Amino acid sequence: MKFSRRRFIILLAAVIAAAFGLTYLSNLLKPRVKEEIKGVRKNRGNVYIKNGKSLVAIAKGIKDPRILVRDVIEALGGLDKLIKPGDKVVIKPNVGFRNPHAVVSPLIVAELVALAYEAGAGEVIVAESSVRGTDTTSAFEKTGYFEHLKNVKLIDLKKEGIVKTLKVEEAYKLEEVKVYSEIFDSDVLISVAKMKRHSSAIATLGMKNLIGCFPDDEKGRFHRLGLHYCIADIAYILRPELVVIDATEAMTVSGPSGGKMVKLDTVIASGDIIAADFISAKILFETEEAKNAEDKALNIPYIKLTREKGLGVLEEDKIELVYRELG
Amino acid sequence: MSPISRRRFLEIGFTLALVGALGASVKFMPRPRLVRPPGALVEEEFLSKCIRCGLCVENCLTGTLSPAPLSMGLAVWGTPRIDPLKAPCEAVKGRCENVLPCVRACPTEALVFVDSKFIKLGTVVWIRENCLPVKYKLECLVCQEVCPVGAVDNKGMIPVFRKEKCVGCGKCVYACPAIPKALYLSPIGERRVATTR
Repeated sequence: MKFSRRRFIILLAAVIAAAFGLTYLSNLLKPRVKEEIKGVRKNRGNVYIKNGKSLVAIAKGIKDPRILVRDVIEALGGLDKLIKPGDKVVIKPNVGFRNPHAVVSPLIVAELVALAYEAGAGEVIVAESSVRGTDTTSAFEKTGYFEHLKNVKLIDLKKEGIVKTLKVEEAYKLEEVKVYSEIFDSDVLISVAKMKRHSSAIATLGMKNLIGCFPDDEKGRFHRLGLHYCIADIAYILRPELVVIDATEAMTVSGPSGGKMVKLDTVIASGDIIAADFISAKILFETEEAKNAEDKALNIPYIKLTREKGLGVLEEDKIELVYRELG
Repeated sequence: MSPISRRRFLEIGFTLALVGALGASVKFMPRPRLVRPPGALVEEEFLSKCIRCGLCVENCLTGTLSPAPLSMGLAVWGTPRIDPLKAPCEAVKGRCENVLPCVRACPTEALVFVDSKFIKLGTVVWIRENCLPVKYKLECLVCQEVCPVGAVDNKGMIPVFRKEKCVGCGKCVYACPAIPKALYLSPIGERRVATTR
């Protein structure tokens, strides 16, 4: 058969048209990636309440952070109270940097994972997205997470995280925000923070730690919108059921990447995100020998702002401290 | 073989001369100063040794290296440059410290292995009027937070950059949340290696 010039052009045009058409159709058939969700994370609230008071447990006096964690959780009332069999538990540690002093001790996270499984959790994952410019996987590696959490699912949210868009009506600034679904869809969320000073947020504790649950471009946006308002908003959106503060070694004076390290051998835990941060901030300022540590802690803007949202308690008579002196 | 005509001879001669002149003129063309990967030789030597193969770009762990586009000039077209807007360089106190995959990948020694203490890729430049604490009185200091070498001090909420400590990794430029950015990376103050004298 002779292939005429006309025939060739027609055939070519048909092929091109078909290719475009197919691409268009396949785009239509693809599931919509952008998923919008209204409201805040489904949460269980604070389960560690006694006589109407929020419990804050403090264990100290021993070097081994594993024993401290085990004890502080026991003092609080145990994870069985919080975790139901088969739950998906997400632990969000602060592994923002490659500097081992600036991150939560992997031993603490390992012990929490073990405790969560003992309480009957179906799946426990550890998820984090480090500060911008730092590779989370390499931070996990450098700070000993791969070494101490061998059989645990460690998720580098920057690489593996799936982003969802949230609409939050009652927020200060974040009416619309993108969040990693691994964190948002958890049954139980545990924020494990390192007690550190922070150059712009004053102190980085349980609430500030949650910034690592958001993609990198959102972290930048928080600073543009006003950091303290955004920290209050993300605490309002994510509402972790449990906050554990690693104060085995506190970073004082300056932070968050480097400061004067002080050994405190303390671990703090609470189901109340505000009370935990307030008590921890107080301890942090006392360590720095600040004159009015309590006022200073009360005046951290994001703690005040979160309190105004009614998430937890800040008043002395509504917080009950449970001390465990070990060693 | 037929003898070559005079016309043909001149044609070939002129063409060759033209190509040669073009090649020679590249050396005199204006070229921007770019921030080069760690271990890059002094610019003159670097340009003569770099074969624009792109292996350093391909092996870069963070993705900060990219070939310079033609719009930056024929002389530097295709040579590697550090673009902190894409990603920072992790050669100092980062995951590339003492590994330098870009240097390892270089087949012509346009990049040579250097100690991480020697590395200074450039210096960060602060644009005061774009800085969030200056412009909107916001809390920021992200630059201080991410600096691996402690080159950022602060006066209250305002960052103060220590040029002598800065290694030019670009982490602060990458992380700066301001739009437009309040920081850019300049090759000023870079430390480069010269192999010949």
